[in-house]
Amino acid sequence: MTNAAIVADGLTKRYGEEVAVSDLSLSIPSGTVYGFLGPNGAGKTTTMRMLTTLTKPTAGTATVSGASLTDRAGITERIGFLPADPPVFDELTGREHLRYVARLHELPEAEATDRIERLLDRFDLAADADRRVSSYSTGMRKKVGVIGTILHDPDVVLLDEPTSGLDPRAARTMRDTLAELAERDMTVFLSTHILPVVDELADEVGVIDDGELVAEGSPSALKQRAESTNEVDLETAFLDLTREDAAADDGERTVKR
Amino acid sequence: MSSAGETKSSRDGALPALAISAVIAKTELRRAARKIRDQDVWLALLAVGVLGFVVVSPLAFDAARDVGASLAAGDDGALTHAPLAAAATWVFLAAFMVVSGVGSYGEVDNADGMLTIRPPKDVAGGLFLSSLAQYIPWIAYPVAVVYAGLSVGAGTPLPFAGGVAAGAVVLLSSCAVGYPVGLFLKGVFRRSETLSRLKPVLGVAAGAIYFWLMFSGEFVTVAQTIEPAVLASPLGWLDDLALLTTPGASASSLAAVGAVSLAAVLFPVGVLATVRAARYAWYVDRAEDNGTQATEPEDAGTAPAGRLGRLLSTVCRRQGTAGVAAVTLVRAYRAPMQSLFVAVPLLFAFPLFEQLLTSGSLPWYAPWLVVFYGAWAAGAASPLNVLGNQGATLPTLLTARSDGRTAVRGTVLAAVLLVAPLTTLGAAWTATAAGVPRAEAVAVTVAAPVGVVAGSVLAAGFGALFPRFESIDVTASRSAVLPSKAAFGLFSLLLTVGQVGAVFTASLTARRIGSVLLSERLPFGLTPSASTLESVGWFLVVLVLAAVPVAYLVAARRIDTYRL
Repeated sequence: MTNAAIVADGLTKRYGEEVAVSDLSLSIPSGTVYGFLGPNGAGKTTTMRMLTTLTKPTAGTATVSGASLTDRAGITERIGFLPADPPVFDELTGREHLRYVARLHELPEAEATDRIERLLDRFDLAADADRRVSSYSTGMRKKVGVIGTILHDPDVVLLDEPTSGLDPRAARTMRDTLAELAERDMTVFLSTHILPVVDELADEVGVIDDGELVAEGSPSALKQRAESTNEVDLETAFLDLTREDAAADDGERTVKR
Repeated sequence: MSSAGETKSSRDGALPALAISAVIAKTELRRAARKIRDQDVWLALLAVGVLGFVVVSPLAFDAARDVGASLAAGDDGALTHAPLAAAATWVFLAAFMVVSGVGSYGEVDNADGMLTIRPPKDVAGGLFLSSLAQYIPWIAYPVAVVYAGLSVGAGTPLPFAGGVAAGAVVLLSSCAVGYPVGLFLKGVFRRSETLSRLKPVLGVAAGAIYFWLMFSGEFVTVAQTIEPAVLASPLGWLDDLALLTTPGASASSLAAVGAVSLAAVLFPVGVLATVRAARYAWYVDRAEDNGTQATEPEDAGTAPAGRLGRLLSTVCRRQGTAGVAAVTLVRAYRAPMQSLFVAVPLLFAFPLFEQLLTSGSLPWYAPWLVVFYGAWAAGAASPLNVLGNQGATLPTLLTARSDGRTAVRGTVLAAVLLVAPLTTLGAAWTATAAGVPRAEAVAVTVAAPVGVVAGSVLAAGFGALFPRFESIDVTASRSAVLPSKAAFGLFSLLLTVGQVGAVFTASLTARRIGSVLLSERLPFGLTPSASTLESVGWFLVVLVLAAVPVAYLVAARRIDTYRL
C-alpha cells in the first residue's frame, strides 16, 4: 500500500469549452514538499481548488490523505489551505481570528491558546495580535493566514503563493516553517512563482502549463532537462519547459524513480 | 496528525453540528456589530429604524390595550383581521428571509477558508442562525409592545405567553422556509449569465412592484382576494396560537397546537433544505477560477464600455470625455449599490405617489420636486465624489493625458445622460397631473434638464474640493464610497437655494404662499410681496447659475493639481 498523501488520477476541469486542467495525474508521498509551478493561468489554482473540494472536477478522481474528493467532511478534517488572498476577517483582531479558527477545528482551549501564542511569537505577530486585521499590512495578513492554516496540524497543507507580500525576514521564517512541517511528516503542496523557494525546499516539482502537467521530478532532474549544456538554474528549466514549442514537441515527462 | 481530542462525528451527518454553527453565528454577529459601529452611515440608518419603532410604539400599545379591554368585556369584533395580520406577518418575514438568502446573508465571507475548515453544512447552519438572530430584535420588540398593551387591557399577563409562542413560531418557521428559498435563488442566478447581468434590473423591478403594491392600495385588494385561501392553510392557525392565552379571544387550541407542531417539523426540514441550497449556491463553476473566461474574451473595442465609448464619441469632441462617461455609466450599472443611496429620498415622496395613484392628481409643487430631485440625484450619483469614486484607478486618472476638464465633462455627461431624460419627462408629466398653468409647465420642463446639468457641475465642484475615499460596507461583498458630509451638505444647500429661486420666478402660487409665510416669520414687520419674491428668486437663480462655471473650473483645476 502506497503512503501517498495526495493521489490524483486524470483530474480534469472544463468551463464550457475551455479546459482549465486536463487529465492531471500525480502521486505525492507523505511528508514531502511538492512544488507546483506554472505560468499565470496554467491551472495551478484550479488544481488546488479541486484538491480542496472548492471546485468539482469535470472528470477524474483524487484522494487527499486517504479521503476522496467526494468526502468533503473528511477532506476538511485533514487539510489546511491558504489561498493567495488570505482568508482572514477584517473585523476581528489577529488573536480573535485564530481563536475562531481553533474553535472551528474543535481544538481544546488550552492547547489552542498554547499553539496560537507560539505561532504568533514565531511569526513576530505577538505585539500586533490584538489589533484589528483591517489595520494589518499585506504581510501581516498573510502571516495570520498561514498560522490559521497550520494551527490544527493537518496532514496536508496546500499553500498558494505563501511567501508573496512577505519581507525577507518573514519569507525566511515561512520557508523555515515549511521545512519544519515536512520534517514532522506533514505533506506540503506549494504553488509559487518564487523559484528559489521551490529549489530550496521541494522534494519534488510539478510543472503545469496550459492545464497539463508537462514535467515532474526533483529540482535537479528538471534542471537537467533544460535545453542547455551549461549548468542551469530552476528558472531557466522552468522557462524552457513552459515554452510553446517545448510543450508541443516533448510529450514525455520525467518519470520519478 | 489530526488534532487531539477532535471528534470525527461533528463533521459527518446531514445536519449542521450545532456547537460549530453556533460559533460561526456568534462570530458573524460580532463582525456585523463591529461593521455597523465603525461606519456612521449604518449607525445613522439603525438609529432611524429604532426611532421609527419607538415612535410607533405608543400607538401600537394603545391600540392593543383597547383590543384587550374589548375582549375582556366580551366583544371580539376587533379581532376580525387578526388572522390575516398574523399570516401577513409570516409572509413578510419569509420574504425578508428570501432576500437575506439571495443577498449578503447568504454569502460566505472568505469562502476558501471557511469551506476548507468545516463542511458546508456547518457553515450553512451558522449563517442561518446568524440571519435568524438578527431578526429577533425586530420581532421581539413589537411583540412585547403589542402584548404588553393587550395584557394591560385584558387585566392579566396571560396574553404574553401566547405572544411569545406565536412570535417564536412565526420567526422560526418563516426563516426555515424563506432562507433556503433565497439560497436556492442565489444558486439559480449564479448559474445563469443572463440572470446575473440582469440582476440590477430585476432588483429595481421587484422593488417597484413592492412599493406600487403597498402604496396604490392594490396590496389590500390582493390580500382580500387571497385571504380565504391563506386562512384555510396552516397560516390561518397562527392567530389562534397568538391569542390562545388571551381572555375572550375564542382561539382554537387545536389550531394552536397544529401551528406549533408544524413549526417543529418545518424547522429541521428547513435547516436541511438550507444545507442543500447552500451547496447549490456556493459550489458553482465560475469561469474566473482559473483566470480563464468561459466565453470569448472581449477586447477593448467590443467590451460594453468600449461600445458605449464609441457611441459617445460621436457626440463628444474628445475621446477622453467619451471614455470617462462610458466607464462611469457601465460602473453605475454593474455596481448599483453605489447609486442606491441616491434613491433614499424617494421614500419621502411616497405620500405623493399615494395621492397620485388614489386620486389621479398632484399638488402644485410636485413638478418642482421632480426637478429638484433630478438635479440632486444627478449630482449625488457620481460627480459629488468625482475623485473618491475612482477608487484604485485614481492614480491612473491623475497621471493620464486627459486633463481635469475631460474628467469633469465625462462624469457630468454620464450623470446627465442617465438622469436628464427621466427628470424632464417626469417634470412635464407631473406638471400636467398637477394642472399648473401652461407657462409654468413649460418653465418647469425647461428647468429640468438645466437643473440636472447645473446640479451635476455644482456637485463636481464640491466633490473635488471635499473628496471622500473611505468606503462603507453595503453588503458582505460590496462596498460603496459615499460623498463626504461637507460636499453633501454644501451641495444640497446651494441646490435648495437655487430651487427656491426657480420656483419663485416661475410659480405665482409659490410667490403668494411664500409671501404669506415669510410675512408671518420675518422680523421687523417685513412683508415681502409676491413681486419682491420674484426678484429675489431671479437673484438666487442667477447666483446659483453663476456658481456653475466656477464649480466647473474649480473641479477641473482640483483634479489637475490633486496629489495623493
